[in-house]
Amino acid sequence: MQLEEVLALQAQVLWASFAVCIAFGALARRTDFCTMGAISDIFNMGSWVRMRMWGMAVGVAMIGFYVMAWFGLIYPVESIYSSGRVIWLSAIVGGAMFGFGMVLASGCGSKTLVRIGEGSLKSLVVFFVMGLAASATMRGMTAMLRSNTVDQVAFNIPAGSPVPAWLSAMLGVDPGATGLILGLLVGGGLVAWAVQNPKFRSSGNNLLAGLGVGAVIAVMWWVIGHMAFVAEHPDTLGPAYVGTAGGKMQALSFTSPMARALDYVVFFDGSTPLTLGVVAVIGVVLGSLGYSLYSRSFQWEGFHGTQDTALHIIGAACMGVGGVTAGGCTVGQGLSGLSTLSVTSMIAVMGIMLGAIIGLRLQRWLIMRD
Amino acid sequence: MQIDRDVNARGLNCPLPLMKAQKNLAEMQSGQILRVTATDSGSMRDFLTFANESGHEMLEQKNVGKEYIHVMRCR
Repeated sequence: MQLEEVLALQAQVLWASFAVCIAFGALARRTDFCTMGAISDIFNMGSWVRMRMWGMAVGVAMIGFYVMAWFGLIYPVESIYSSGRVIWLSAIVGGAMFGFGMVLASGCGSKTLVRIGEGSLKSLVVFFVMGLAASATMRGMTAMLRSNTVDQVAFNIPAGSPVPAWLSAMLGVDPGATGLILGLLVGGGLVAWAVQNPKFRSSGNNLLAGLGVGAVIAVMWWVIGHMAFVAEHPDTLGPAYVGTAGGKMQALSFTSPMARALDYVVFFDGSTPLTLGVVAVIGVVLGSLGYSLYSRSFQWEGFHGTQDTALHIIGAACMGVGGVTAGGCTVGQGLSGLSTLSVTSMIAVMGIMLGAIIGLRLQRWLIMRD
Repeated sequence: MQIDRDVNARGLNCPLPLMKAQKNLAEMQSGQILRVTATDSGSMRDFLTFANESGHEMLEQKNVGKEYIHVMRCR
């Protein structure tokens, strides 16, 4: 493939990703899809309805991922979640920091972008602080701390982190068939767990969120894993997934993309290439903004006081550092990573939930103290 | 309708308005009425779910301008 053709393909990939992210922003805005809200509903009132929404989204994305893999449209071993080096301490510590932070900052990275589209200036501040903290953890001061401490603790799974990869290697069976069977069983199980609940089924919004967000992740796997694949990139002469920052197969994530979006603005020199993360950030904000204007729910929002400001800034910093340390956020390690059945993603999600519970306990203590 | 407690949750995001309501309901007598005024649109869903799960009766929910008002009777 010639360089001009690669550049044309890259533009198509980014436009497609942009369209999918606009849909994600509008969908999350309309349906109140929110990971922090799902955990908070369980913690505060014992309601699992929004967690079922989340579980259904993971299930739909997982089925999509492994069905596409079965038909040879994407290659699971190429995904960023397939590394066999499981940095479990980073996943749990980073995940806990992220989960704690998202409670204080009124939502995770994707929710922050959705809330910016609703008119929240609080979330705009969260975005800047989170992006800066993420950038420092990718290549700055906290990056050194991360790589010299928690990243040193790991174990190796030679066949790769996703369950179908190591299970098929252990049993000596076909990895494609193992992936399809596990994807259908676990993904189908999650969808069944969601829809068997009458309270979940009673609202079309819940079904729309579960199906729609899951489909968004699956479509992103297709866009990046199939459409963006170039067997021989003219620059490297090796395979690449064009439009991504690292040239690897991925779906949606929002922590490092926030840092990349800020970098894009700060270091733009007229020829700086756009990448998936940057268009994802802009797309989600515009999708949410569009729905907010359409539903006449757009509303400017500012900080309530000093404590509110401080908690949001602390939360944003925790999310930036934690999200990069854990290798992704509630969408990156949560929806995208879990859809590949990656062990690292499972550990990171457990960390996020643990951190969120600690954050909710702190919030309850602050309310009780008032 | 006589309001026994009026809680100002303006400017607070999910789940803080709900946590404030829970704290006040825990201190109130059965049958007393609580009104919570929030500015977070997500509070509409949160309070309805809370009423369904907790047994506190949701008497009224309305959107007035930029505010979301929830009136509940303590169980």
